Amino acid sequence: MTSKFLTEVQQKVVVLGDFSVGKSSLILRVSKNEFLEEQESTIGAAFINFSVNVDNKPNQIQIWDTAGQEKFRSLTPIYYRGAIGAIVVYDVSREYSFQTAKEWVEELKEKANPKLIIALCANKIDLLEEKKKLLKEKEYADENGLLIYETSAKTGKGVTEMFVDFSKNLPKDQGREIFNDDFFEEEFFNIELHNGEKKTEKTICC
Amino acid sequence: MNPQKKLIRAETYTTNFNSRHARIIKSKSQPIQIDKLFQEKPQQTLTQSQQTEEEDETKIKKDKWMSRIFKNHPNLLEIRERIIPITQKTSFGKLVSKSHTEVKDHISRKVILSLIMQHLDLKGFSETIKILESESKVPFQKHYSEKSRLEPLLKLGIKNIQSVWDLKLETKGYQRESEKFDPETEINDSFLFDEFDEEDEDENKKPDVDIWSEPPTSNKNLIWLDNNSERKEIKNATLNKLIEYLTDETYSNTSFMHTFLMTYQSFTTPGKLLRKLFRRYDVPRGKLSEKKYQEKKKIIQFKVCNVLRFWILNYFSDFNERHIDELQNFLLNIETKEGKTTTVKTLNSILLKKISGNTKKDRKISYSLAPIPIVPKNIFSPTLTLDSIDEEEVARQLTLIDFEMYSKIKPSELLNLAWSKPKFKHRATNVLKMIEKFNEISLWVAHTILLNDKVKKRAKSITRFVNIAKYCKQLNNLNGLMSIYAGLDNSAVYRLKFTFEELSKKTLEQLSSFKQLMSSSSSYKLYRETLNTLNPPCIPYLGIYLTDLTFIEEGNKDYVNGLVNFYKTHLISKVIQDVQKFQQKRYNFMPVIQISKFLTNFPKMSQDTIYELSMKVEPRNSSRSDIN
Repeated sequence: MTSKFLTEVQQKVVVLGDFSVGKSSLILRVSKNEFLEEQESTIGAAFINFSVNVDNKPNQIQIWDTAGQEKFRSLTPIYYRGAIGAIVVYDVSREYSFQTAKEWVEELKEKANPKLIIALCANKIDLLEEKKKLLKEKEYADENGLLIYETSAKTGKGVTEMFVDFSKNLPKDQGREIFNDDFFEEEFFNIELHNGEKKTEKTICC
Repeated sequence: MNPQKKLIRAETYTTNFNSRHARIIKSKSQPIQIDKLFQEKPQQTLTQSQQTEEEDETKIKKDKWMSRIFKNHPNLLEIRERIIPITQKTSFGKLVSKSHTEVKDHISRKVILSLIMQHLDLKGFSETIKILESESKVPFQKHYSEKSRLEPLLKLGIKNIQSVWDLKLETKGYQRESEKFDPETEINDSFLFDEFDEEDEDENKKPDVDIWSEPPTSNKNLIWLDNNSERKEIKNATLNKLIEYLTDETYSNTSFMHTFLMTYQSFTTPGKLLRKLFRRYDVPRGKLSEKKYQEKKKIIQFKVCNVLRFWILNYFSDFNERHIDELQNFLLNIETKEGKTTTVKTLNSILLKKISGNTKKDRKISYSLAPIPIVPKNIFSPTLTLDSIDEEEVARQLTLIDFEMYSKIKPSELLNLAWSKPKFKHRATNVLKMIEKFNEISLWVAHTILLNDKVKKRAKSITRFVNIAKYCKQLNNLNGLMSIYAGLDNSAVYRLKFTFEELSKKTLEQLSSFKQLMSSSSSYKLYRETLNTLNPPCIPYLGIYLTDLTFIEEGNKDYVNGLVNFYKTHLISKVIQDVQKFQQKRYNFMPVIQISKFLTNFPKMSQDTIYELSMKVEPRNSSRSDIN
C-alpha cells in the first residue's frame, strides 16, 4: 500500500438512528441542499461524498445511510465496522427516539472501533419550543464524550454545518493503524479504490 | 366487570380449551350464556361441597362467588390474571373503537361477538353460533377470510403480558427495536379498520369532487411529464384525472394501468377507487347526440370493466368483504339494467373464483426434473445432525425457504414505507417476516459456531457456513448469502481471533469476497452490478430496495400543488417491479423436510446470550495457550 493510496482513501462515516428520525432527509438535504422540493429525487442517493479541507489538506469523507434497513439488526455491525465516525440521529419531538439513540451510543461504545468519533444529532429542532434547551441531551453528550449538533432537515438549519464540523473533528489521514484488529480492512480499502466513482458528489470547501 | 371484558375472557378460554368447551356446550344442549360462564362453576362447587351458606345460594354476592371460584379453581384465577392486560390495554381498545369519543379501553360488544362468531365458524361450531346469535341479538355475518381474526388480536394482547409474566423473555438484543414499547398504536388486523382506512386526508390534497364534475384538463389538474415526447406520462394530476386517463376513450396505456393499480394505495384507498370507478361507469348524457353518447358510453364502460378485471385478477387481496359486496352489487345492477352481457359474466366468474379461492396459481411448471437431493444415508434417523448434510443441499433448502417468503411479498407492502410504520404494519407482514427470518438465521449461524467449545471445531463450523454461503451465491440467493454472512460477521464471532487464525486461506478469501459483494460502499455499487447480471431464479437482498424506497418516499412530495405526485408513484413502481421481477421464476428443488427443519426450528437466541457465549470460549485478553 502506497502513501498515495492512503491519502485517496475515503473515510467512512455512518448515520444511525431509529425509524423516521429524519436520517435520509438529512442526507437528501445536503446532497441537494433542499428538503422535499419539487425536483425529483434520484434513486441511490443513499450516500454523499465530502471533501473538507483541514489544515490545508483535503479530507475525503463518504457518509453512508441505510435508512429503511433498520430492522435488519444483524447487519448493523457490518455497517458501522470500519467507520471512523458515526452520527446518531434522534427526533427531538419524540422522546422515545432519544432512548433508542442512547442504545445506539452504548452499542457503538461497546462493540465498535474504540476510536470511533460519535456525534449526537438532535434533528427536527423546528418542532421544538424556543425555550427548550436540550439540557438533558447536552449533559448526556458531555458525559459520554459525544459531539452534539442541532439540526432541522426541514428548514436546513445546521445540517451542512454539522457535516462540515463533524468532518473536521475526524482524525486526518487515518491510515490503517485504527484498523489493526480488523484483518479484513485491506479488502475494504480495495473496494473503495475500485469503486471510486461517485454517484452524488458534493464538495464543500472551507 | 363489564360485559365486554367478560366476553374476551370467555373467548380466551374457548381458544385455549376449544374442543372441550365445545363439547360442554353441545352436551348440555342448552343456550350458552356467555355472561354466566364464570358463574356456572361456583354453583357446581357449592352444591358439591354442601356449604353452610347453601341457603343463600341464589343471593350470594358476586365478589364472594369470585373469590370462591378462584380458590377452588386456581386455573381460572390464572387465566383471569393473564388476560387482564389484554382487556385493559388502551391501544388494544383503540383498535376497534370507531370514534375517539367512545370509551377507548373497550372494544364494542358487537365487534367482539362478530370476532368470536367468525372464529367459531372457522372451527365449525355452527350450533354455538346460532345460540350465540339468539342470545346476543347480534346477527352472524359470514366472512370470506380463511383466518381467524380473533387469534391475532388475542396474541397481540398476550404478547404484552408475556413480558410481565415470563421473566425469561429476552428484551434486549436484536428484537429491541420492534418488540419494545411502540409509541403508536399497533394495528394487526386491517379489517377492523375499514372506516379508519378511508380517513387519511392529506392537507396538501385538493378537495374531492365527483369524477363527472372534474373541470376539463388544464395545468390545474394535470401536468405531463414531458410534453414533447410521443408517449405521454403523467407527472402530477388529481385523482379524477388519473382515473379518467385510466379509462380514457381514445387512449390506451397498459403500463400506466399496471403502475396505477400497483401503487394507488399510496394516495387513495381501495374503497374510494372502487366507488370512483362505479361513478365513471355511469356516463352522463351531456349534450352529446344519441349516437355519440352510446359510443362514448360503450368505450368508457368497457374500459372501467377492464380495469376492474385486471384489478381483481392481480390484486384481489386489496378487497375486503365490504368491497366485495359493493362489487357484487355493482355487477348485479348492471345485470338488471343491461342483461347478462359477456363483460358482466366474465367479471362475475373471476370474482367468484377468487372468493372461493379456487384459482390455481398459474405457476410455471418446470418440465425439467429437479436435481436429486444430496442426502446422507441416515436421513430418516433421529440422530441426523446438520453437520452430516451436504453443504450444497443445505443451501438449496435455505433457498427454498427464502424464496417462499420472498415470492409472497405484495406490492402494497412496499408502499408508504409500510414496514417501518406501526400504523401500517399489517400491510407489510411478508416483508417483516422475511426480515425477521434474516435476523434469526444470522443469529443461528453465530450461535451454531459458538456452540463448539474447541477452536478447531469452531473453525470447521465457520468453514462449513462459508461454503453454504458460497452455494447460496451460486444459486443466486443473495438474501441467504447475506444472512449467513451477517452471522459470520456478528461481533460475537468476529472477535474470535484464534478461531480465525485456524481458517484456510481459501476460506478467508471467500469471506472477503462476500464482504466486497455486500459492501454498502457507494450505495451497494458492486452488489447492484452483480444483481444486474443474474438470471432468475434469484433472491435479492431486500434491504437495498427498502433503502431505495425510503429515499424516494422522503425525497419527493406526495402532492404537488394539490395534485397527486404520480411521478413519485412511478419511481416507486419501478422498485416494486424490480422486486417482482425475481418473484416469478421458482427454484426447481425438492424440499427435504428432514433438512429444512434444521433451518426453521431452532431456539431463538438473543445477541447478548451469543456474545456471552463468545466471551466464554475466548475470553478477552486471553492467549492462545489458554484456549482449547
